[in-house]
Amino acid sequence: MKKILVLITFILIWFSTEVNSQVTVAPVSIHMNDANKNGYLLIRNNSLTSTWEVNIEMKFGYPFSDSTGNINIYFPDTVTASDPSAIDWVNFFPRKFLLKPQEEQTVRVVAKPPKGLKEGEYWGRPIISSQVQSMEDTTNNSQIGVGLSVKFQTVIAFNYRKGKSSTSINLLSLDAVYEDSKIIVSADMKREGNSAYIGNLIAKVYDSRNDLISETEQEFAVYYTLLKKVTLDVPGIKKGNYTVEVELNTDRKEQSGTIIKGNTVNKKIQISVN
Amino acid sequence: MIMKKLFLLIVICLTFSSAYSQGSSDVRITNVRNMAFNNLLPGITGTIATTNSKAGRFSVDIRKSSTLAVTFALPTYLTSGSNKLPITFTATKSNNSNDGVLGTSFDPYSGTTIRRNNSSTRYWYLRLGGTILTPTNQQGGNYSGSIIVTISFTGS
Repeated sequence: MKKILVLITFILIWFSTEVNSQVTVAPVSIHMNDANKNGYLLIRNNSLTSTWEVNIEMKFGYPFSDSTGNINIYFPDTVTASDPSAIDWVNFFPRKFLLKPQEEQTVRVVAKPPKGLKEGEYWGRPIISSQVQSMEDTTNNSQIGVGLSVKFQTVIAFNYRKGKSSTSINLLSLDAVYEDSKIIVSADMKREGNSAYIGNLIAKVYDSRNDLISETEQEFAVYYTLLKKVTLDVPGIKKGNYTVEVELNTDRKEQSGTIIKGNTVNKKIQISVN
Repeated sequence: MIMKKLFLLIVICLTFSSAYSQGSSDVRITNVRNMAFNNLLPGITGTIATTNSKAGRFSVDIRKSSTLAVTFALPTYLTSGSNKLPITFTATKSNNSNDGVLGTSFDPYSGTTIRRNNSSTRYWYLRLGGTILTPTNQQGGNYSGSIIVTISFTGS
């Protein structure tokens, strides 16, 4: 009986978390080309009680790393003619709408590239903003009352390929350091070809007997250059020499469209733990 | 009889939960609760720690291995008509849903990165604390402000 009550409590907690969720977006990357100029987004209000206002816009941007390896989406203040921007000729229908509790909306994504567009890949970052439909508070308060509302933005990827697309990755440098039971691997990369390199970084650490002691796999995308840092936990690692092996590849499956196949890079470096 | 009812309740819960999961994306963000300051008094500083049950809390369910950049656009002032109230924020991130456990602090004005490496890093809990310093001559009223939470997929 006790076990059943615990189970019910667990299920109810999980259930209440699920039903409180807000707007979700799928898929989180859209890939189009000359043969496929139409796509869709599915936007759903998971709330049981609130109506949400949804607004979609697209800006030109791409993943960008700072000198410490932190990666965020960079949105240039101005888009120049040399930037491979798709924002002027991609539309979303509808762009603004209300979603009642449990409702979902299919949004058509239509690309109309201009005639004479050069061969290559063109980018944008759709931004899906959502917030609860606002109710203005007009009550008087002789004290100091405080209310904070929350707006969510989900930033996803959009790529359009015109003509022949190609990509490859150039591993400019690879470093590894040991700090506090962790090995931090830094890969400085530059993309070649006319399209983004959307791939995986697999890092493995071997001891002097060539036994695998830690590994990790992370997704990354290089639009121009990228400094990617990955951390491998190595608790209880002994002093000695170790080999760090890194593989960069494009073996990824995406929900919407195809990843452009690029080269695979393998590199090993040595690291000493003192 | 009681067992039968309990079984029925479990089945209903599971059925509804399954229905809500349909059409979901790789990431689900939930605003578990907004920051909740009590009414403030002029001249008194109001503070909510990130470990307080009144701290703002967002949960992120990363269903597929991926890396997300999380940034916040935070108000400098809350406003009530032309009156202003200064506010500052603190933040933590954690894989622990327990509010009383201090997470890893980060600067909410710079943002942070969350990543699912394995099943233990699927659920993330972001908490926002804050401090409001009310001058002694602060006018009464309902002060409001808006927080923008941006989740960016950096791996595509």
